[in-house]
Amino acid sequence: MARVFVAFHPRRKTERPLLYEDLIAMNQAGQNASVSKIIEMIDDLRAHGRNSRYVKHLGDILYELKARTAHGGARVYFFRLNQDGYVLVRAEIKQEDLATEALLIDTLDVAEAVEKGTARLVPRPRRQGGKTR
Amino acid sequence: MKPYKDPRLNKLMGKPERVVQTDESVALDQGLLVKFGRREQSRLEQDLAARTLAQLLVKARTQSGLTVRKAATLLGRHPSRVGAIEQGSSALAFRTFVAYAHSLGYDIEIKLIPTDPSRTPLTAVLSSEPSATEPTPQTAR
Repeated sequence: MARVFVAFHPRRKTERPLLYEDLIAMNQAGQNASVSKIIEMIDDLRAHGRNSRYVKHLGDILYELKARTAHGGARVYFFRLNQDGYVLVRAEIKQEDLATEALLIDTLDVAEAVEKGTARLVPRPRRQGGKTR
Repeated sequence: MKPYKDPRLNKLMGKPERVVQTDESVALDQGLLVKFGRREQSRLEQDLAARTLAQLLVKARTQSGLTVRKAATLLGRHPSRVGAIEQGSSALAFRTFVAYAHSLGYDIEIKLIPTDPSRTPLTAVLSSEPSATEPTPQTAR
């Protein structure tokens, strides 16, 4: 069973992890089916790790989970961490094949901060009862 | 051709696989990483479902031409409570959802759509009138 993490950006102040923000935005745009597909891909990654059928290597530390949905290609950008660790950073629904550069850069930023151990502590608002971060 | 503007990305693309090796407890302590286990995922899914229902209620109120304050009066709750419902609180009780929809002048139709296409969908209507119907199979999807 693989270990899955989500991440905050090392310099940007957000209330929730970046992946949550992306999924909430998709949900608000009515792309619920794509959100469900992304959840399914994450479940598959947790069960099969690198051998998940959705995993595609992009280059060096960058990977993506990718599947086709009614709204376009559902993609989650991530990197691998130590033994069986997977850090999911950003997600998007895209018609074109080329990944959005800003999302890949966010993934690189998080990976570099984790690798160098230079991530600064970003104060976040207190967690509210019953809501996810 | 270099597809990305950022030189870091063009340099990385096509390079062999590499795993980030580090003491992950530092990133967890710093709040940069959060474990995303099944429990956390379940909370997120619940949150997303609540937001979907909340969006529906906001649309219903807007269609009814009501302000939050007027809707709160109809529901018999404080406007701040109605505001919280419309924010998509994952603690939203089903009966509150039903009561709010009814107060806005909507009945609720629940449809169970089987993943197995050989089965027929089931629907039930939760009417604001006293007699709600029993689940009835539909002949067509």
